[in-house]
Amino acid sequence: MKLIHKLEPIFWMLFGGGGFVVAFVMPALILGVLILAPLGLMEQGLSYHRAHALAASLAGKGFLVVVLSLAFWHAAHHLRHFILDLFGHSGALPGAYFSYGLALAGTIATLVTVAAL
Amino acid sequence: MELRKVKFEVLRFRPESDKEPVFQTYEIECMEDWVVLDALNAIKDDVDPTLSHRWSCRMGVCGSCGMLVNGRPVLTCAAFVRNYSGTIRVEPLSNFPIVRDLVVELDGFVDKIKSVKPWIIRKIEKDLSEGEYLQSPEQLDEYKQFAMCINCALCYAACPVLAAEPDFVGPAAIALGHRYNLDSRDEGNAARHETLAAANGVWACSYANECSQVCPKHVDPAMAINQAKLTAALQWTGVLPKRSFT
Amino acid sequence: MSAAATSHKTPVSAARKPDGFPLGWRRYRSYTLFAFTSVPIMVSAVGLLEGVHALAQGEDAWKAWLAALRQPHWLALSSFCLAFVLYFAIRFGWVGRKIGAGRIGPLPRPPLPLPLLGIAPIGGFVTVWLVLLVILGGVL
Repeated sequence: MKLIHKLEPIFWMLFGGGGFVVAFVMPALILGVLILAPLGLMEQGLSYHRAHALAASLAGKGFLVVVLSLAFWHAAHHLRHFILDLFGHSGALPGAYFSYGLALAGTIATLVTVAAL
Repeated sequence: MELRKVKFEVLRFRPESDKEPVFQTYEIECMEDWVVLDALNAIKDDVDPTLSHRWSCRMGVCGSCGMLVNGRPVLTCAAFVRNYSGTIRVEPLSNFPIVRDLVVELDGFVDKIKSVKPWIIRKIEKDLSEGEYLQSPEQLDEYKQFAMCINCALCYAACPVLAAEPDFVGPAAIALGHRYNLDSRDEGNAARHETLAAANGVWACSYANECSQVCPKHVDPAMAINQAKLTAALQWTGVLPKRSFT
Repeated sequence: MSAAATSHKTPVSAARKPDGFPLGWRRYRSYTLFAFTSVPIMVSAVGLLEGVHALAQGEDAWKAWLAALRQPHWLALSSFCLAFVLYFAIRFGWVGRKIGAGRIGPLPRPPLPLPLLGIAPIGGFVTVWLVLLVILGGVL
């Protein structure tokens, strides 16, 4: 049995658990950081100093690593099934390697970026 | 009673003469209370005796007459002609090879049902003199919904995963396996684990929920499969052992 | 549908895909859209990671990054991602209600009606969104 099939329960748990984390956290983060802050509406909450203080604290770093990594692994599992739906059986293994590869890259990028805070 | 002329576009496939399936149109005078199966029988009886289709009880309990009507998997004995307008398209179930006309090959489906060991498994069978296995109404409620399956295979026709992965064990089989795992009289959780907790078992399901949408008996296989996923995940992590719990 | 099973039978015509899959049927369409949300989720995670990176590089980088995101095409992308993440969250909570609706091992079925098993998590999500926005906004 291929390794990727042995790990199915892990991928699913990351999908499910990650899905909850994404659902709880991502909407507010996207609205706050990617939309309201660029529009200048978060000058008090997301000034450089406050944002850096929040993100660089131990809790903040932990929060970022957990949320972003889980978002990548959740999305990867869903993307894998999406690729299967679009491309059929021939897309099954390549789609799985591609999707989880993206998640791995995203996790490494998260760890490196957060460590630099 | 009012009669209405209805056009039926029926998929035909005769392996001795057709390379590919083709559509053939019939116009049938339908009574107001007819179902699509009545029209198919009228076609076969009065118009074209070469049409092949499966049916039996014509009352929604045998599971024989499943077909696609206007693209949707239904029991043709339960699909009222008056609920459709225009030409009605009748095709064999999707995701199955076609043997002839509206008859599909169900061997794979039957094999999958068997693979989940859909019977009570006991470590030691009780002797007859010890009496029946007792079960409370509450214990029955835990699995009863999943026991209502009539093996009509509509869920297999609707499932998008099966379109890509024909080896997926499938909604009906997994729901049936889960039904036995939940049965208080059963001790076969470990015996079914290899089939259910496989890559082609519960993990292949992408929760499209189409199976539950088309099930004529309200089995809700999507519910069973996804509860089975959580169970299998907890078993994989060791939080739950691979045994029954009643 | 194994080859061995068909080897002694009459020739069959190949299995056909479900009608209207993946984007034709109203229902397959919503399932496909739901699967597609994986892309905006990944894009959003990358976007947030960019922000963390800017934060790590200092005040000028942070301000420059925010100014760059202010451009209409990035705001449009962010809004597109937000819409899909919201769709994801609500559908995830709603569709996931079935998982909590039965006995899992020895854990009994929760004594809640099925719709409530879906509404409760969605309510939880909305609550946390508001709390997080208040925190990010600096009100707390």
